[in-house]
Amino acid sequence: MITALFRFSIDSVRAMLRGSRAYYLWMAFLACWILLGATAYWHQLQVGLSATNMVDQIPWGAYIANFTYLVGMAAAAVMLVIPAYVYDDHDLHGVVVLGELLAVAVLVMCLMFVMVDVGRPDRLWHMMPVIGRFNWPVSMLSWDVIVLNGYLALNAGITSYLLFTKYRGQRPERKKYVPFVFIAIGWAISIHTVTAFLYSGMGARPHWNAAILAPRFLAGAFAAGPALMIIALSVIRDKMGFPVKPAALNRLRQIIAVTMLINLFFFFSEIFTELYSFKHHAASMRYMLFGLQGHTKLVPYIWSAVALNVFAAITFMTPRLYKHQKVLYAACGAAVLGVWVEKGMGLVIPGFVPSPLGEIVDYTPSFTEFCVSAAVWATGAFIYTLLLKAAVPIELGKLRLAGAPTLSPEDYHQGHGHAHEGSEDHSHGSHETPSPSPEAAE
Amino acid sequence: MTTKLRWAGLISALGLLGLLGLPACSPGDEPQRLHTTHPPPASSGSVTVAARIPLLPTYPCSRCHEDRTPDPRERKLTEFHTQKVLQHGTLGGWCYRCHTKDNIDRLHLQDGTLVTFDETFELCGSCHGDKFRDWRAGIHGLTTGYWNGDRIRRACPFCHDPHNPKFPAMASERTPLRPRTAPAGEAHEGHQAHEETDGEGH
Amino acid sequence: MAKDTESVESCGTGCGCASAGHASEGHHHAHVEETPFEARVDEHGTRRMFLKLAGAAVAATAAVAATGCGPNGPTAAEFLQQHYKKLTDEDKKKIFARIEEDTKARTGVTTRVNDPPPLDGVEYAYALNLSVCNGNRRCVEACARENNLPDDPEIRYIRVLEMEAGSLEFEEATPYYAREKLPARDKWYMPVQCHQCDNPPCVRACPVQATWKEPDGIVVVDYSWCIGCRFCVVACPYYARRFNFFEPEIPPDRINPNQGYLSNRPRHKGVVEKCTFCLHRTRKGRMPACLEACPTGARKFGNLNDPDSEIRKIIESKRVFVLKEDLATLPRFYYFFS
Repeated sequence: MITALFRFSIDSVRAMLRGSRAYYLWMAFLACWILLGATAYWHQLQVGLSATNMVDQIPWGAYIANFTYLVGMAAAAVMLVIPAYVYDDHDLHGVVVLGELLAVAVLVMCLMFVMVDVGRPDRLWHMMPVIGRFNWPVSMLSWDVIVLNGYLALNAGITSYLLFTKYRGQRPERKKYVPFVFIAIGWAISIHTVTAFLYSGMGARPHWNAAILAPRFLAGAFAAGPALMIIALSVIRDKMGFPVKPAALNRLRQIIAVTMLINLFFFFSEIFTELYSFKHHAASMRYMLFGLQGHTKLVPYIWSAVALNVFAAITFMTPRLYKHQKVLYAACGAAVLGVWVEKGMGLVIPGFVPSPLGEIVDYTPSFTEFCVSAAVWATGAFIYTLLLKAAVPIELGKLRLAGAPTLSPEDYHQGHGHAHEGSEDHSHGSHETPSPSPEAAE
Repeated sequence: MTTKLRWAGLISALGLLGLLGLPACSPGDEPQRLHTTHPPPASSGSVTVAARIPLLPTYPCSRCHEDRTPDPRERKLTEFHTQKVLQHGTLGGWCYRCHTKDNIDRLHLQDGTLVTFDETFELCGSCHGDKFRDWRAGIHGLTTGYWNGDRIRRACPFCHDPHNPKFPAMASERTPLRPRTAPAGEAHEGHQAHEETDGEGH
Repeated sequence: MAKDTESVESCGTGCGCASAGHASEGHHHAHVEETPFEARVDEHGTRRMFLKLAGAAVAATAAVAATGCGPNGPTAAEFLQQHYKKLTDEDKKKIFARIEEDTKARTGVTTRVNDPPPLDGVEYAYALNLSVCNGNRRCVEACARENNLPDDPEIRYIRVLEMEAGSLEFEEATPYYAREKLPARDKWYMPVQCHQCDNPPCVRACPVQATWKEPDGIVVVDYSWCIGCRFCVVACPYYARRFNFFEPEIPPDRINPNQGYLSNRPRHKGVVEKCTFCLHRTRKGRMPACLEACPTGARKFGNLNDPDSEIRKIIESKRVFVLKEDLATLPRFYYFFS
């Protein structure tokens, strides 16, 4: 067992190190961004958060906006898991692991965004139970720390178990992982709910102080997440030779068609309530949609987000549009981008404007914030690519413990196949198709 | 046997963890309500009214007024006290409405009671009853010193010139800086000094 | 891999510089470099470039870790310092001495850090007379001097709003007025500072209990425990909390040497601070600096539990209100008209 685990790690790392020219180029490209971001973060550590464009009136900016969005993306992994495990959708079974690995990579990004946002990263240990002084259960932020780390552990555990058993040529035992899968489903909902509660619990910020916030967060995430998954799965299918059934992609498309409509509906409900009553609390909403006292910096963002989301919603519902691959990808990109802008520039930032004392301060990220954020995204893509480099061959049965039995595809619970009979040697390069193109991360 | 022992070890370790962990997880002190019941310390200490006389540059007045005949007529003063503006609401009368003609070092109330220049509050308070009440309760006016000990209270003339009691207009201290990321044009707006303007841009 | 770990360890204190972000970034490259496997690659050029980049990343991480322990990072004692409530008197003595020495070394000023405890049976409250406040901001500047607040970049605990006559609407107000003659016609003035809420949303927000309400009602921050997440800034409905985006610098001649550990002692970049009703003064019976600086006598301070205090008389006899009462924060800062 221990030896197998050791071989598993060694073989996984080996698989990660091999690849085509395109793979290295892609990783080098990401590494460049990571380096740039590391330099920017170094600068930020030197001069403090003055390197960002955050001020007392806008205490949170790009980092926390990205964090909020990415928590949703991590939660959206359940959109693969729920059909597969709750409704026994066999088409999606084959890609569940890839979705959960995405969740792992995204969670790492979430934690990184929190880390780059705090003023004293050296004191993060204060949050640790026992040695620190954790303000649980009062602080919503402490809940967020718990649910995010728990979700990371759940997903990392489940995927490691599935991949490791497969690597050993064994059948995963349902008893050993299905309970965790169901826990993870509930947990996924909770991570984004808790993140929404960070905001909606703030009596000081009327723009967030609404019961619709958590449902709206989930609806948006469950539109953007599957959209990202469609792009990622298509790239994995085309570049890594992983069989993704069209039915699986179609199921994801159906999900987005519903969730995006719900997302838009929630958004509309909120706009109506705020604007029709025309109370003072609607100032943030008015600032976001139309600008206030000549401050209109945010207005283009929200309207482009609405346009992107509407375009995505229409496309995902219209067969004549989505049957064209390119249009489908464009719509997926629109959903990913639209919800991203809606969360950041449409929710986090306007919540601070006007300030509790009525001040209107515009915010756009600084160069440092841009570089650091880009680097965190690049790190996520980097991690996901590495994870895939090991997971895909294991899933395909190409990467196995030496001497492990070859199971027929039917033997796997996941029910997808492609196990190459007796392909014992890992002569890479031959079956290795070019790696994911940059789209995978964006 | 060994299994049992191992379990016992695990459980006690968990218990220890819990013991250590619980205090760290406690939400902190119970929120306290206003007006707690424990006995408050009595407000000890005295209230002193700041002496005014040492601050009067020409006191005692009798030094000059001794040699002069009081002139109760209302007129423009050209020789002394030329800076004094008498603008005290609808208050009629002239200097001797408050100053005492035959005892120039004292002021007098309407009933003729004499008060010193350290007791001006008696005179002001004889008309401004509501303010006097607030001042005596420490609500109106500036009190410094110790909130639980000796306090010094300033009487009316420290802030209000009795001849022209409207509180003097004053300039504002340093204007706060605009947020450092605000556009340049906006940042300047706040620093312009406005002289008695009605329209203040924001 | 080994290189990466080493660089982090060399930091020892684990200061922010060597934090996980960089470490993990360097990580993946490190795998590549240290791996014993010579994987066969078609394009050697590409691989070499990749390795070069990886090496650069490792080097960068090492550099970050090494220099991060310089003047900017915390010392071992600072890094390991416990939460205020866990400190013994002996700990406090050492910490105060350390802060005093640090200030002396940086500025040459001899300061005295102390920690006056809350007084038994005392709950503070503040009242501000809006009828007489003329917006002159003497309080703002006196507060800045008393509490060692930096001028540029600026931190101020009190914000005076110039309000439109007939309006309590903050969006119509401005804090950026500058005038020769105050009060201006058709304006009124509303100073806002920490309301020391009895039900403080900021305290609930803090994930590490770095801010709490003291028995005398003052909400304090342990600047040595705050992680700088700014959730309390987000939660405060009164815009009362300030974050040190910069390393604050005070000219030596402006440093107030009488310093409270939980109030006006030196802060550093990356932590949140706020008004503490000058607890280093008020817990010794003195009035807050803003009160003594007010030329209009608009500010009143005292013990809410003392029925004879001025503050009680105001609350009992004047038309008093609190800001944003609907948020149920139960402020200890009252506004009144006389």
